[in-house]
Amino acid sequence: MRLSRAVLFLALAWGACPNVATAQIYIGRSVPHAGTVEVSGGGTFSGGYDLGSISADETRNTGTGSGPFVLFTATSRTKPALGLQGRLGVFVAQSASLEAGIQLARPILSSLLSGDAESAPDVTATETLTRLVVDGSLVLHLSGLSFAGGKGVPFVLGGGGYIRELHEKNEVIETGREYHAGAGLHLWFGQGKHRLGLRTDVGVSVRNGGADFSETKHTIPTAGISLAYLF
Amino acid sequence: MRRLIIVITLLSCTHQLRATVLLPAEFREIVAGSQIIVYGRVAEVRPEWSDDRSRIDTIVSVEVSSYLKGGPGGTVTFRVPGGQIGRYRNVMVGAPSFEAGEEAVLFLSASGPSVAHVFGLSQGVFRVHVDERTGRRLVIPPVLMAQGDEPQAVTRGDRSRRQLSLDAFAATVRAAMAQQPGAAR
Amino acid sequence: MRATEAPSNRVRATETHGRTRKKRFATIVLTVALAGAASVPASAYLKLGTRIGTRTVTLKWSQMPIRYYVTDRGTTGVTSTQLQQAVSRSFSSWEAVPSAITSSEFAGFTLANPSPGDGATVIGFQNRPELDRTLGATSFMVDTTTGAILEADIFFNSAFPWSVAAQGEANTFDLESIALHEIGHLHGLAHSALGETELRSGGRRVIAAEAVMFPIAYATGNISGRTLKADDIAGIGDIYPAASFTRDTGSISGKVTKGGKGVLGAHVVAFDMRTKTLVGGFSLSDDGSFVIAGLDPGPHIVRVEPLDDGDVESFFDLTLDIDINFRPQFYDKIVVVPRGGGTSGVELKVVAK
Repeated sequence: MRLSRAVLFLALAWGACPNVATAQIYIGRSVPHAGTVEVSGGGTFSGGYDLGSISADETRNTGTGSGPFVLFTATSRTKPALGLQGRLGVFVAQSASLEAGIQLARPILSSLLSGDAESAPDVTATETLTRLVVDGSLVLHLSGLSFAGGKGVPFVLGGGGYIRELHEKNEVIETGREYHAGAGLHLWFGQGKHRLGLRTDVGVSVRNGGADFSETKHTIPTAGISLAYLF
Repeated sequence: MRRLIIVITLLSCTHQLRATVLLPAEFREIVAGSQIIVYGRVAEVRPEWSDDRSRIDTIVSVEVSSYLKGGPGGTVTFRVPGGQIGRYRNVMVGAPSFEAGEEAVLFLSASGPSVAHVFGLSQGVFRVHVDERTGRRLVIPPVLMAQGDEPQAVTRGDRSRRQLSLDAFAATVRAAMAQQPGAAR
Repeated sequence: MRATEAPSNRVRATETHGRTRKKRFATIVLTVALAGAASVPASAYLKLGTRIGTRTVTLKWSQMPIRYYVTDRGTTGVTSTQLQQAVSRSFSSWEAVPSAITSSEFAGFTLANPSPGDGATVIGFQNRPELDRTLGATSFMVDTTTGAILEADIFFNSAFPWSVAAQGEANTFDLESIALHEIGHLHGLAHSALGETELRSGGRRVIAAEAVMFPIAYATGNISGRTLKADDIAGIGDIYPAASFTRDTGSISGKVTKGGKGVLGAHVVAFDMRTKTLVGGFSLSDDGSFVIAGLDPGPHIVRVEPLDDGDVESFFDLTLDIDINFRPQFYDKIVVVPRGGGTSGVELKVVAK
């Protein structure tokens, strides 16, 4: 008898769960609205990019050739880097939020020294940068595309930020700007007004300045994964 | 007298006066432009006022070990700009300086009865050092001699360019002399 | 006898144009270099020095302006007035360096030759055929008991053809370029090794140079030597630093070693990756220590090479045991120079040829 009651209970519960899962996760005032706050923190990835080639030139004497005399060439690159990020977002409407973020990474700047006029062996010289990005974004939450009973909510975002790169020993600072766009997904674990979830995003960042010898814009891939908390 | 300003720094961050603007000669020009080429040891260094008493020069006397060109005698004497008389020292930046006991191969020019001088201010001075490890006498600086008529870049660190032993240096001088027009064969 | 008479007595005899100015000898005090660990960055490259007793003394004018006379005698193609104007422009070029404090004063024309012993700093043409292949040279007269500079003189060898043409003149040497170099010596700068040469029939000539203080002249007709480069600017700032030199520049220091032992006489070059300029220095002690100062803040590439291209005597007294038996090499780290400070511990390990 007790066993049959347990089975009945489980069957009823099982029957109820799909109903609960298919119901909108945002119920009543639990739907994010203006004033809802989301905080998140986790890891980030930024792609590497070429910094171009520069040459150590000497002023040529008349009659020995044209153009400067190249003592050697330095071809530089910032390598891909993992880092940390934190974000604070405030919903301005049910489907839109404004967020500010901060990212910290330590990419390696490498420079291939080659083409030496006196045949010094090629060498790759490196240093480790400390990169700080402070940015702001507009996030559009695509509730209409949500799935898994509203647990999965994709979003798109776009914005811009300030880059601050410190050379080794944090003695010399280079600044720049970046603009980014991307898309991501919230996977909420719970329901209700306060909920924990996972946030992932991928995008591109167009950067200008920072520790850069090429004076050009760079477009790099970015990605992030964070724990998010909505309240 | 003003207070001395004492700067603590590396002792050797200042250095002997070595500076002027030169038109450097290729080695065979040094050989051809010298009437005397001699290897020897500096015996005496004697400063004196120039003939017109406008500067201090130094008369250097060398005990000859061997002549490669010319052969005025067992001692050869030449004049270099600069020197010290009493408390006053006159230094011409770029002129070579000598100390008694030094060994060198010297390329000297002389015209008429005047005292000889070093070719190209300092270009005719090749110092002879004794290598501590091998005991061989080595000559510095390395010889720069063009190969052929086309310009050749002088690259630092060239493995083929090393300090020559005294014997090899002398052979190089003789070879350069043999290439001179009218050289005896 | 000139050796015993006070040098100031000779000055009045050299005045021209009827002026009899009493020359007041400024007491020139030298900066004395002492042995021991460096507590401030040393020179960007060589400074001129002379041995007084057991000490090596830096030659430096401690009182400005530097008063100089110009010999009232021209040469073919250059009048004395043109000479004076070229010299004045050259002094101005050095004085325009913002990180250095120097000044000069043209005291007048003189009939005297640019020769030591008259107590006056004189710049002029002089026929020195015995100094074949020497375009110009700077001389100092030093009082060895006090270390004082009594005078400095510059001669331009009138055995060579000269020009002051604005764009240079074929088959003549540019006077202003050579004057700029020699006046660098007059201020106390030694040579820079930032340059490349080639051998050809007729001698060795410059392929390229990146310092006015490179010891070999550009070809006739070339006026590239009229412009100071980063290496020159670092050097003059090191000797006569303005507040901005100490505040806004930095240094790199370290050692050049071979097989664990120090290398004396290596040429070390710092390449600024942001400004793309070169500044050189030398390892000047037996343990291979070097310091390159006057560098702009930021990332630098460091490179070392031997002075085995025949110019060693332009830089060093060859009684020293200069090591030229190694290959050029880069340092495998990007060296970041801080503003107003230094980066130390750069060790360049070279290998024998």
